[in-house]
Amino acid sequence: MSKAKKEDIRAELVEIFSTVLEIDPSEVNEALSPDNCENWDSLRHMQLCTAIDESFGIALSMKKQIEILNFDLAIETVLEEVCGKG
Amino acid sequence: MKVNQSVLSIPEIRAELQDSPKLMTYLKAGRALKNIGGTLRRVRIVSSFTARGLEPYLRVEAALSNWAIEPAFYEYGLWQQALLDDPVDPAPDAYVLLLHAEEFSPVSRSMLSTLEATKTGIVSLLRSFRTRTDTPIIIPALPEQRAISALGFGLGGRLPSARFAHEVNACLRDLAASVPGIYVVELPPAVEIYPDGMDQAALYTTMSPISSKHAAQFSEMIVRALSGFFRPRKKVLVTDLDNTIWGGVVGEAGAACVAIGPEWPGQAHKLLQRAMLDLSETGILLAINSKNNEADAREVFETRSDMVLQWGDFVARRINWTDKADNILSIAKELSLGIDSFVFIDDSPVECARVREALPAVDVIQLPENPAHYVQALLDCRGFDTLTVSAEDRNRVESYKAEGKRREALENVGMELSDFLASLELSICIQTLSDQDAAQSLFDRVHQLFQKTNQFHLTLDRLTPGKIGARRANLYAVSLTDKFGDYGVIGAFEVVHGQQSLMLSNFLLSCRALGRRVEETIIGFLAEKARHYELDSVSAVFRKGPRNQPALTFLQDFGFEERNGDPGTDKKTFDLAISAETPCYPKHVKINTPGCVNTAKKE
Repeated sequence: MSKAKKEDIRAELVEIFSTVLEIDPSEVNEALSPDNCENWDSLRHMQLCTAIDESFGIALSMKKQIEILNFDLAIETVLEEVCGKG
Repeated sequence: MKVNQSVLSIPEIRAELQDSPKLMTYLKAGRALKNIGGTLRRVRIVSSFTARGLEPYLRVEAALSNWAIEPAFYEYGLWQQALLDDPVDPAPDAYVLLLHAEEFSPVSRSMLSTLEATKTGIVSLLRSFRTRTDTPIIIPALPEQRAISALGFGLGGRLPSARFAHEVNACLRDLAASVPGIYVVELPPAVEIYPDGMDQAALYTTMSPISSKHAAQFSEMIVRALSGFFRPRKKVLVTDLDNTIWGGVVGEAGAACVAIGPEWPGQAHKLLQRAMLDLSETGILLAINSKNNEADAREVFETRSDMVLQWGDFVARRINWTDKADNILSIAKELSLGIDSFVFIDDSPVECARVREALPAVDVIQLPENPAHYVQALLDCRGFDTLTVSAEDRNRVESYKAEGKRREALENVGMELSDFLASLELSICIQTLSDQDAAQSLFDRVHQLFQKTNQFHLTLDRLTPGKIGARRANLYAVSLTDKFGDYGVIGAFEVVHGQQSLMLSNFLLSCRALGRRVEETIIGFLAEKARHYELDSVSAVFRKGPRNQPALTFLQDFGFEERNGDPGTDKKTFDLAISAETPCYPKHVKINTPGCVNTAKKE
């Protein structure tokens, strides 16, 4: 996994998170989570998962969906899925 | 992604969704649409599960159907309460009730054990709801499980849990048949809630059985079911002939060789004809617009027994070498309809582009390359969407055909207009809605006229069924017949008694009744009424809109004078003095006014 690829994934995730959560892209950082973001409720969480699935062409399992507890974990999860796909 | 909050148009959204029908596109477009203004239709979504996720999809789909939605959702678990609550203010324009069978009996061992209680409960809930508000409520039928099972075959194909949905649906349909304003809509299996148990995962994680995969399609169907309430339905389908309703070019192949069923590709064209005939039976007028020699085209209709559509099914025909946009304008003039009520269907990208450019108000269906997809292309056109088809709608096609005969009679005889009108043997019936026996269909038709009439409509007030009910004592419906046929109910007006004058606070006539001096007859009727009550004038309220100049012209030509003042309102009042002799009824009409004051005098 190249660093460049990780940066691409991060950039796409920033767009997804800022769009779904209706926040400025500058507010998206690794620690962003339902604990510090008022808009991140269960509905938006599912929308995040849907947008991630659609954007990266993956299908997160329910277990992985539940494990996305913050933005950093979202990057890690997508990286794993994308690499896993080869 | 191009969609952002500052640049946005419906064609752009459409193109964007075609490229990328994804949640992100819906979210961005949905939010951008929040800012474009226009009349927002408030729709309350009451659901037995969490439905808030539909919001962006509903916004975008409504925009694609040419109206704007402001959806409101209830919290999970509150759907019964939502129906029992006092009406909210401002009142919503429609309710949508989304039910999911699992929620009815979450803890019982067998769903069927709760069937009777469920049915009784939901009927009394909806009846009680109806006593609080007359806002329409749309209920998609519960999905009936179609999982194939050997066990199911012996039970008439239905396992007990599937029977639950089937029986609740039957009960809802019975209710909808007897209670006005309740509509049970069938969704295609592909977009049913929770189809074939395929989105269990979505249900467990979000408490919503509608997966993201189905949210867009599901929202489209809800919006299309609602559209009939919120935007005028298209009235005319103008069709090309060659490579559209039949395969091949008749001028080259000859009538005997164009393709029309039962083999490929004739079958595809035949099915398109059938779909057009279906539309015609719901009141959509069909017209031909084709570059051909008329004799060649006509030969197909006369000699091919496999044609579904007949020559007489079309209310207007332009088979010539004239520009197709000009032909549409000429058909619009002939039918006295605005071109924004037209849909044009053609296989040629060039003709489609020409009509789109020349007449942006016309909806254009460009047929796809493969005739197998023709019917779907027609069904995808949202302009024809409606939940209700009234008797008037069904009569419309016959009525326009009769109009064609009237026109021919006028052209052939070449007589004076007054002689022509006299020869029509017009008969006008003015009926009060205050009569307790007034049929529901009459109310429905008056409501429809208030929604749809744009040209001869003095105030452009769009009275709701509730307001029509509340003001029935002052409302009248006008119907018209002549020797060629029955026009049905073609107008309505509202009269309020003032101190010195009779106030015509609403007055509208369908454009197909114009030119018959019906409007003069109504004023004659009011004059009689004014004399009866010893009032000295009739006043009319007018509010200018984009297309109701004909109504204003009538008032002015008839001698109504604008009253000075009326500050602070966009409505103007016009007065007409009443004398012992004038105005009176035009002499070419017979008037029938059951239950009304009538001392008819002729001019």
